[in-house]
Amino acid sequence: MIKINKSPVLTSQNYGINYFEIDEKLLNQKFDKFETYKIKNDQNVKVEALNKKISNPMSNELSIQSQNQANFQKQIVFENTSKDITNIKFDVSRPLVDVIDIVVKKDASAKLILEYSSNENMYHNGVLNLTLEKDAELDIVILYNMKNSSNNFVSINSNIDNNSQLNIFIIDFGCQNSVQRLENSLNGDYSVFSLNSIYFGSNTDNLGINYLSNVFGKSTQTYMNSICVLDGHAKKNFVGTIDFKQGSKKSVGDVSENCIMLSKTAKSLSTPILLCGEEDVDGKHSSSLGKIDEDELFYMMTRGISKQDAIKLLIKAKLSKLLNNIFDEQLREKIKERIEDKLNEHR
Amino acid sequence: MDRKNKDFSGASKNDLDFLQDNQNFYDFKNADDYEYKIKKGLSKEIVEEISKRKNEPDWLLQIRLKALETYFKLDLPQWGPDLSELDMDNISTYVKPKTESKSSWEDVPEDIKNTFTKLGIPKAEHQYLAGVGAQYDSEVVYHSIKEDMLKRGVIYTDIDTAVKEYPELVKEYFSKCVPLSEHKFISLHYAVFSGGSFVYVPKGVKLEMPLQSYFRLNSPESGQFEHTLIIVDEGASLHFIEGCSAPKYSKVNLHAGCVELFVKDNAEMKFSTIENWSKNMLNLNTKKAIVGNNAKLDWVSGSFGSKISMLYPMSILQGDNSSTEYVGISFAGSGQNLDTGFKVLHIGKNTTSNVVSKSISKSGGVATYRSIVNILPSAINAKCSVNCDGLMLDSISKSDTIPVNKIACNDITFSHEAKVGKISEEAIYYLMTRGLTEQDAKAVIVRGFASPISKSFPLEYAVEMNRLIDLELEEAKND
Repeated sequence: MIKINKSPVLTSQNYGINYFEIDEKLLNQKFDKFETYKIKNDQNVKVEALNKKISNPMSNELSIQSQNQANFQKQIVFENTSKDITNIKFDVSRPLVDVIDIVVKKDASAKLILEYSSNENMYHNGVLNLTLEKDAELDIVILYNMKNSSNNFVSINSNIDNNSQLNIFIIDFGCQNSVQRLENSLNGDYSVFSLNSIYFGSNTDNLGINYLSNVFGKSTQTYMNSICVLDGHAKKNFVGTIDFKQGSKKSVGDVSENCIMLSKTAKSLSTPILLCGEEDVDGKHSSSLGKIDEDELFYMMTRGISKQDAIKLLIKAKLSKLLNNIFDEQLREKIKERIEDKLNEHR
Repeated sequence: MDRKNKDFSGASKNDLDFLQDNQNFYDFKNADDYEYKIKKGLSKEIVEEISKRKNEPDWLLQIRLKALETYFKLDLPQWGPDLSELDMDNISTYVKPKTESKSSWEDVPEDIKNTFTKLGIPKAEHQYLAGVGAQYDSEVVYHSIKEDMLKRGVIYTDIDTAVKEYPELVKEYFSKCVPLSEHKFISLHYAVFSGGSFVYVPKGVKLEMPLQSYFRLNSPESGQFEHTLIIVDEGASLHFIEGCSAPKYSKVNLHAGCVELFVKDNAEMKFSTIENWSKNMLNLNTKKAIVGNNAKLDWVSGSFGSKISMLYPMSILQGDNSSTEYVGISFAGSGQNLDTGFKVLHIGKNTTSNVVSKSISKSGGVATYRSIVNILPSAINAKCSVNCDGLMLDSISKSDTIPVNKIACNDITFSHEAKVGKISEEAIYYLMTRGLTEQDAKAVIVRGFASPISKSFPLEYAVEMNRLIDLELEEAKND
C-alpha cells in the first residue's frame, strides 16, 4: 500500500485521516497513445502541446507517472476574453495520464468544461494546472463520470493573481477509488476563489477529497462548499482547509461540507480545517451530516409521494441550489439526468 | 463612574489590586528540598525503585514494567507541537517531599503548607469544598474529607492509600479506561506514576459540595505523573475540581498525568480543571471517561499555563441515553503552544454530546483546537454538536482548528461550526465611547468571549479564571 493525498496538517494517526491509501499495483498500467478526446474552442484560445514537466503533489509515485508517462499533455492559453465555452471531452476508454496547463492572461475571462467519462473500468491520473494573471476570470466545470470499478486520481493546482477570480465546479459520480487533491493559492490582493463540489459514493466506492486554499493576498475571498451523497458501503474522507497566512488582512474564508448518508453501512470522515496566522481575517467552517429530515419526508409522504421518491426529491432540491452555479444549461441538464440515474440506483 | 474602581469580573477591589501587584502569583518557589529524588532518566531499575519505595503489590509493578516496555517501543507523535526538547535523561520522575500524607494542615511542613495557603487551598476547603487533596511534587501531602461524607460511604484518598486499603476496587478499575499502550506518554505515565486521587461515590449518594485536588510541582527538572481514578456509582453525583501550577524554571518540566473516570448508570459527574502550569512545563496529560446508561459527564477546562500542552479529554458514551458536554478555553501567550480539544466516542443509542470550545492567542502564542468525534454504527439516534471559536489578539500569533468527524451511522444528527477572527473594531470603539481605555475595552470583550466557559465553573473559580485572563492580557500589554 502507498500513501497518497497527504492532508495539509497531520493529526492523530489512528483514524486514517492523514492519507489515502491505495494498492501500489494500481499504478502498474500500460499507457498507449490517447486519442479519444474532443476539443471545442474559438480563435481566442490557443491549444498547444505542453513542453514543460509539471509535478503531481498527490504523491511521488503519481508525480513520476505524470512526468514520464503522460499520454495527453496540452497547454491552453486564454489570450483574450472568449465568448464561447471551451469544451474538452475525454472518453476514457484506455488508461489516461493527462497533464493540462491552463493560463488565463491579464484581463481575459473564459469558460471551460472538462468532461471525463468511461464505459469501462479505467485508470485516470490527471494533473490540472491553473494560472490566472491579474484581472482575469475563469469559470471551470469538471465532470468525472467513471465506471464503477475505475480508479480516478486528480490533482489540481491553481494560482490566482491580483483582482482575479476562479470559480470551479467539480462533480464526481464516484468509482472504486476516486481521489481529488486541489491546492489553491490566492496570491493576489482582492482575488476570489470559489469552489463548489458534489460527489457521490455508492457500492464500495472510496472517495478521498482534499481541498486546500492558501491565502496570501489581502482582501481576498475563499468559498468552498461541498455536498456529498453516500450509499451502500461507500467510504469518504473529506479534508477541506483554509490557511490564512500572516499578512492576508481583511480576507474572508468559509469552508463547508454537508454529507447525506442513504445507507446504514456508509462511512463518512470529515475534517474541515482552519489555519490562521493573521488576526484581521474572518474565517469560518462547518460540517454537517445526517439522514434526510424526518419531518420533511413525512410531509411529502402525506402528499402521496412514495418514500423513495420523496428522498430523491429532497436530495435533488439540496443539490439544485449548487447546480444553478453551472454556467452551461445543457451541461446542467445532463448532470441532473445523471443524478437522477444515480439516485435511482438507491434502494 | 470611576473607571479605576470599576469591577468588570465580579472580583472585589482587593482582587483587582492583587492582579496589579502579583503578576507572577503562581511563580513562587520553595528550595528544592526533598526527602528523596530519584536519579534522572528512565530505566527498569528506576521503575522498580519507585514501586519498591511505595511497597506496591506485584500486579502494579507488572503494569509499570509492561508500560515501560511499551514506552520504548512507541514513537513520538508525528503530529501536533514539536516535543524534541523533551529529554527524559534530564527528568527526575519521582521526588518525595519531606512529609507523609497528612489529614491536618497543622501537620504539613511549614514551607509546603505556605505554598498551598498562598494558592488559597485551605480557605477554599473551609468555605465550599467537601474534601481536598494536595499533591506536592510526586506525593500527596494532605488529604481530608468532611466527616459526613465518610458516613455516607464516600472514599476520597490518595491513590497509594487506595491501593493498600481498597485493593480489589482499585484493581478492578485501574488502567481499564485508559489502556497503557494508547500513546507514548500514557505508557510513560503508567511506568512511573505517583500520587493522585482515588474517589468512590457509592450508589445513590449525591455530593452537594465539590471535591478538589491540587497539584503543585516545585522541584526543577522533574516530572509529575499523578493518577486520578474516580468511580461514581449508579445514581450518584459528584463535582470534582482539579487545579495545577508550578514555579518557572529555565529547563523543561514534564507533566504526564492520567485521569480515569467511570460514571455508572444514572450517575452524573462534572470534572472541572483550571490549569496554570509554569511556562517551562510540557503538559502531556490524558483524561478519559466511560459513561453508562442514562449517565452524564461534563468536562469544564481552562488551560492557561504550560509551554506546550497536548490535552484532549475523552468521553466514551457507552450507555444508551448517555450524554457529555465539554466546555473549554485555552489562552496561549508568548512562547506557548496549547494544543487542546476533545474526543468523543458514541457507542450507545440516543447518546448526546455538546462541545463549546474557545481559544485566545496573543503575543506569538499558538492555540490549536483539535478534536475527534467518532460515531459508531450502534449509536442510533446520536446527536452531536460542536462549536469552536478562535480569537486572535495580534498577527504574530496563530489559531488553528483541526476537527475530525468520523461517522458510521446514518441515523444521527451532527453539526460542527468554527470561527476565527479578531476582536470587533466596532465593539472596541463602542466601549471606548463609554469611557473605557482600549485595553480595558479589549479585556471586557475577551471576558465576554470566555463567559460561556466561566459560567460553567463555580463562582470562586470563575473569578479565578477571570483573574488569569486579566493576567494574560496585562502580560500582552507589556510584551
